[in-house]
Amino acid sequence: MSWGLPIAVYLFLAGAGAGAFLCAIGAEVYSRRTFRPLVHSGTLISGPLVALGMPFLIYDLGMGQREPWRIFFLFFGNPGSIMSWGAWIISAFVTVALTLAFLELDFDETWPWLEHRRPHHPKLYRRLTLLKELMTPIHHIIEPYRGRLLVAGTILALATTIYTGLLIGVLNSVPLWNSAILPVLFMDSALSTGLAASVVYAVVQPIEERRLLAHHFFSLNQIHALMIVVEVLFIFSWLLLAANSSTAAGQSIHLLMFGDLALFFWIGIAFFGILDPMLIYIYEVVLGKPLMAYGMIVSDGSVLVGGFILRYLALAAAVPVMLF
Amino acid sequence: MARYGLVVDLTKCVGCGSCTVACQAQWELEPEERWLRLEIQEEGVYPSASQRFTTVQCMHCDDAPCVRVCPTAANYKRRDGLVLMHEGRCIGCKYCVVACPYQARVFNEERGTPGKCRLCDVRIQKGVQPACVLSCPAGARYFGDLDDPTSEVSRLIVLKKARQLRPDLRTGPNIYYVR
Repeated sequence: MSWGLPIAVYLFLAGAGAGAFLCAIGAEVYSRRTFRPLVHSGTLISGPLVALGMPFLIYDLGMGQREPWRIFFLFFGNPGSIMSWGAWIISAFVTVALTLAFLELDFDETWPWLEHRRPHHPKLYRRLTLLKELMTPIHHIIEPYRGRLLVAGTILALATTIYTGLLIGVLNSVPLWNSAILPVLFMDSALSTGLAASVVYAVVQPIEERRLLAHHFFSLNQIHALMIVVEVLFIFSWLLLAANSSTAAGQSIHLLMFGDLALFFWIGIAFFGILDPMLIYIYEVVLGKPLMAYGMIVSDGSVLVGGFILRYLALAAAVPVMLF
Repeated sequence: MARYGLVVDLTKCVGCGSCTVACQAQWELEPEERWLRLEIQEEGVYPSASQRFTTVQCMHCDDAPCVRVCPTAANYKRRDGLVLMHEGRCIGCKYCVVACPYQARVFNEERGTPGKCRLCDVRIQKGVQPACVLSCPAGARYFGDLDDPTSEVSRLIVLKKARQLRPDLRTGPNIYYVR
């Protein structure tokens, strides 16, 4: 099909960013104090992750590098197109999420990573400190609106995760995609990869943050295991229903499970996406205590690989509807 | 207003591919760029096996998926029934390419936009038949106004029971086939 790797990366990053945001919101509502590192890392990475997907999308556009101003037609040309909905949703979400990430930075305290640079790069230090001082009043102006931004961000994040599935789900030209399960599968996978991205980001943080998070690995991993179980059920139903719906969808399933894409499917989705993280989470339950912090990089990094390959395979396994 | 369409009499088609080549010559397409392609299906079991030819191109659908999904409204349905494209509005997102169930759109990497059958809009404007119709050595292709009940195409549809390709996809295709 015409959509390949760049679009898969874009769908994956949009899902992971919005998912990280939703997990941070969930953790904040549950208890901001308990899950502080998760809220912190989820809020910090969600906007940048989705924004990072934009260059991939523009790279894939035939006119993206030649006449990029045409992208503005995308917003007002056809309000009935799901892609236009996506353009509105994602630009609004990136704006809100980046503002919240900006608010997450504490401007009233000194930043250790900045102070470390003072002796070695005095020039850079001076510039960054000046920038910080300039930003401080803006931070104070926006801060009272944090609650409203969180509500708007939650709605936009939910819309983003559903949109990535709807974009290809509404097309009746590819029977594999034209399924009610796809948007919710992508949503669940977005939550799972979002949580994984937040955890991986939190784990590579300075040591005290990591210890704080390690305290709650256990409950986090149980929630994550539940997300993966739901994902398995969704993928299973999606493939089984598709295999029995039409010739083209049947061919897609064959391609995925036994054909050219079988290696990606069984190693990428079944092993990295499902089996590997699940075994680590189950091992922890049996053990009765969380693994060390770096164990999280293995399980959650593997979730990220699986989530990306799921998007890629959904696009690569597209077989168009039979004409005869 | 007119609603232009084609009737293709596949019982006359020998699968020579003249229509494909005539189309490519008319629109100066690359050799691998086919706005009109020949699909071959094998039927029956040996010794009574045979091949069936079908020419597939843009169906100029009444409710065209490419028009519906196009985020910039570069694709549009003209009042005379033709589905055309404003090249200057297209961003090359390929949403129409994946949305078309007939795979009638061919993406041109060099230009950065997709191309498709235009039912030779520049020719029919001058009253000349589309290139594929005029070039068919078997005379299997007929062009005309489907809204005019006295036109040759309308009569053929009734007389020879011409049918659309996959009308169940509910796009309202305007190319009819006699089988």
